[in-house]
Amino acid sequence: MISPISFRKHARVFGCTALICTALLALTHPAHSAGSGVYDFSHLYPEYSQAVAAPVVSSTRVSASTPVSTSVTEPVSEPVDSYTGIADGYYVGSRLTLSVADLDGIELHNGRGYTFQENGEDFDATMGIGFLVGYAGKAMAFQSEPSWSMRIDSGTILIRSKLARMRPSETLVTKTI
Amino acid sequence: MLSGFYDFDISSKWEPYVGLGVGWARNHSEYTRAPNINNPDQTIESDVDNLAYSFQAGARYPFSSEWVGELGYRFINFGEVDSGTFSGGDSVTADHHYSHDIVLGMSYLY
Repeated sequence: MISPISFRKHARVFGCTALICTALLALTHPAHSAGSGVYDFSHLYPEYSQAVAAPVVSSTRVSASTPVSTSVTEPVSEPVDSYTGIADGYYVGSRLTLSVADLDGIELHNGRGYTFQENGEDFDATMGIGFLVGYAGKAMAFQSEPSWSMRIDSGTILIRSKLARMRPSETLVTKTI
Repeated sequence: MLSGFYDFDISSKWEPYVGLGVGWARNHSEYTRAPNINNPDQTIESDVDNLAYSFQAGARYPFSSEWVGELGYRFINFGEVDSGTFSGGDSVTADHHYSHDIVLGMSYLY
């Protein structure tokens, strides 16, 4: 027959043994994480579907005196700074230009091979209009990355008018398309 | 003229840009002279095709998600100018036709 004192003694021995075994098990088998390891934030940033976050595992070793093992897998995202999204589109437009036209290196010749003016220069105020069709691609960056965009215009038509009075009796009008 | 632009993001509604352009230009010249009071004016016309190029810098401002305004500066070299030659041999030429532009623009994105 086991007396109450003997029972408590055996219970303490059993409890201590279990405690030590648990502690040893915890020491020889450090905490492991669980989980797939990939987190998709596309539901938060649909345009950044390439954004992924790697898991960060934190574990706590236990000591013999604290036979409690904790294992936490925190879905903390690492800084994402290398992915981009592209938003692009086409555009049409027009431009009005207020211009200073410059004819440089003017030479006026007569039929006898005589040059009245050499390396002349003439300035005139003029106006121009233009029509354009373009394509723009804009990179959408996130966090510390700067945004940028590239555009290409094509089909631009420019009209310029240039008036150069060479001599009182002579006029040169240049229109540029 | 085909132009390419780089837009900077300065965390503002204004969006600075720089650009380069290359294209074709046709310089059309009308050269008129008045030999004397008793004779009518004489005019000759001539076209010269050239390779043109441009440098541009400015800023764009979006008024809405579709409409974008533009204010900038542009330099263009249209190439040489040649008036052609009168029967007597008179002519006018210029090595370069430059243009310094203030550009006001409006674009519609779709």
